Amino acid sequence: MWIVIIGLILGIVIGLSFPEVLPVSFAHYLSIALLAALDSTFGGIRASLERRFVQLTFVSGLISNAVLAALLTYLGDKMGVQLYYAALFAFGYRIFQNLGSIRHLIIDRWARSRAKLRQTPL
Amino acid sequence: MLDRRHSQRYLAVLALIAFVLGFLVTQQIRVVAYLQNSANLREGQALSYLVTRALNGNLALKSEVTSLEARVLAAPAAPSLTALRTQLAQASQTAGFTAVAGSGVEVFIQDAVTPAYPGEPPQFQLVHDQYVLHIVGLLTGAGARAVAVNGQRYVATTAIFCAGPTIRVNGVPYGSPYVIRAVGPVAAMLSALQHDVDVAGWSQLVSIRYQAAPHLQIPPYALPVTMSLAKPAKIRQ
Repeated sequence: MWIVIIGLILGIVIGLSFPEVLPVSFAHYLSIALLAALDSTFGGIRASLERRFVQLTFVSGLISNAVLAALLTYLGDKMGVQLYYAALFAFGYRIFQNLGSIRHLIIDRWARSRAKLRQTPL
Repeated sequence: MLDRRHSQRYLAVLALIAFVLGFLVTQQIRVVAYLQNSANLREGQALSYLVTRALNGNLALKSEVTSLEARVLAAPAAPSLTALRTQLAQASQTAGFTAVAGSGVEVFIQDAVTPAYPGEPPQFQLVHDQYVLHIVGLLTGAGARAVAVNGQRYVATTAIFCAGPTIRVNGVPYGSPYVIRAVGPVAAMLSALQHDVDVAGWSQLVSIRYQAAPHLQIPPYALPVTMSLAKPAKIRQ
C-alpha cells in the first residue's frame, strides 16, 4: 500500500516542480478526466470497504472513465453540445453517492467493533 | 507464490496510476491558477486601454477648445463684447481659471522621516487631509490670492480629503510629499504658519517645512467645471 502513497506524493512533487504547465486548451478536458478518476477512486474505496474490490475492475474503470469522459467532452465541443455539464452532473452525483456509502460503512464498522468490545468479558 | 507476484504487479500499476493522477491534479491546479492570473492581467490591460482612450479623447477635446478660443479671440469684437470680455477676464482671475505669478510661500509636508516614538501609532507618521486643509485655510486666511496643492489650483469647488494612502485634491490622488504654494502677502502668511499651534504640534510627528519664495507660478484650474446643479439666481438691478 505504501508504494501507492509514495507514487501519489512523487506525482504531486513532480507536478509542482515541473517548469511548464500543460497547454491551457487541455484544461477543460483534463478537469473532467480528473473528475472521472476521482469518481473511480471513491468507488474503489467503497468497494474495498465492502470487501469486493477487484483490482482489474478498478484500474480498467479508472482509465476508461477518465479517457472516455475527456473524449466525450471533446466530441461534445465539436458537435456544439455541452456534454461537459452532463459528465459533470453524472460524476458529481456518483462521487457524493460513494462518499455517503463510505461514511455509512465506516460508521457501521466502528459500531460493530464497539459492540464486540462490550461483549468481550474482562 | 504466483498470487503474491500478481498482487505486487497490481500494486505497481496502482502506484503508477497514483503518480499520474498526482501529477495531473497539480498540473490542473497550476493551469487554473495561470488562467485566473491571465484573466486578471487581461482585465488590467482592458482598463488601461480604456484609460488611455479617455485620456486621448480629453487631449483631442482640449485642443479643440484651444482652437475655438483662438478663433473667438481672433474674431473682430463688437463694442458690447469688449466690456463683457473685461468682466470675464476679471471673473476668471477670481475663480482661479488663470495662471498667477508673484511672491509667496511654499510649504512642504511629508510623511514622518524620523523613527517613531516607542508605542506611537502608525497613523501618526502619515500626513492627513486635515493637515493640508488646515494649512490651506491658514494661508487663505492670511490673505493668499492663489493657492495650489501639488499643482492643483484651490478653487471654490476644490475638495481635499484622504483616500486610502493618498490625498485627493480636485479628485486627483496624490501621495506624500505634498507641496502647497500660495501667492500673497509673504510676511502675513509666514507669521500665520509660525504662530499656529496645530502646525507646531504636527511638525513633531511629520515633516512640515515652509519658506518664502520670491517667484512663484500658480497654475490655473484645468479640470472641467459642472455647475448644472447650482443655477445662478436672478439678481434684481
